[in-house]
Amino acid sequence: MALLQGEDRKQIQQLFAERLTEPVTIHLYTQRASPLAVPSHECQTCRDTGALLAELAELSDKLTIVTHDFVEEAEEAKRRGIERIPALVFEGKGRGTVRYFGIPAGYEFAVLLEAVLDAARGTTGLAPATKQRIADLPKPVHLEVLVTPT
Amino acid sequence: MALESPHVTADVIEASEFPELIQRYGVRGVPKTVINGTVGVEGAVPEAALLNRLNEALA
Repeated sequence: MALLQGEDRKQIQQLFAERLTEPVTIHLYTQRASPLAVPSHECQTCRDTGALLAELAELSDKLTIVTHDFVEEAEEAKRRGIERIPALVFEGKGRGTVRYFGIPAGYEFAVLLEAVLDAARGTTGLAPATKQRIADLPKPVHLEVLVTPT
Repeated sequence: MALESPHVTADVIEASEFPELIQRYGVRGVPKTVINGTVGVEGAVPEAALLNRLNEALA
């Protein structure tokens, strides 16, 4: 069954047509579906996350999904600092790194759409003082925002 | 911030899927923002307040 339904699809398609004007790639780190998966190590939301992103990519030719296997590409995942899946890495015009961990469903679906549009735009409405401060940091900053979908 | 600076990594984490993080950061309410694994702020954080906490985390 499709995760995105008729009216939602149309609205997202229109949103993307208006605002997704530059290419964006989402790198999805996931787990290959395997009959040998150990139940306790199974990624509960990987399959649905992959399906959701695939449906989203159908709605704009500017959006590309690249799927990576967390186990087979462990070295690259480690280099990107990805310790858990599903993980989405947004690649566009942004200068730093924006990621999403878990399934971006429910209320978090809006966060996914915003992250895609932000990556396409690459600019923000941050105050000049904030921009200046973060352009000139003495060491890297890692912001983790914990949310729940309900 | 992560859009503006190459020094910033911003993660959104669906906490219920990763209970170990709820425990590690002592999350009682969401959203919760954690800076460099140490400084935590609960609730929505205005830009200026986040910048202050960021400076604190870097001090």
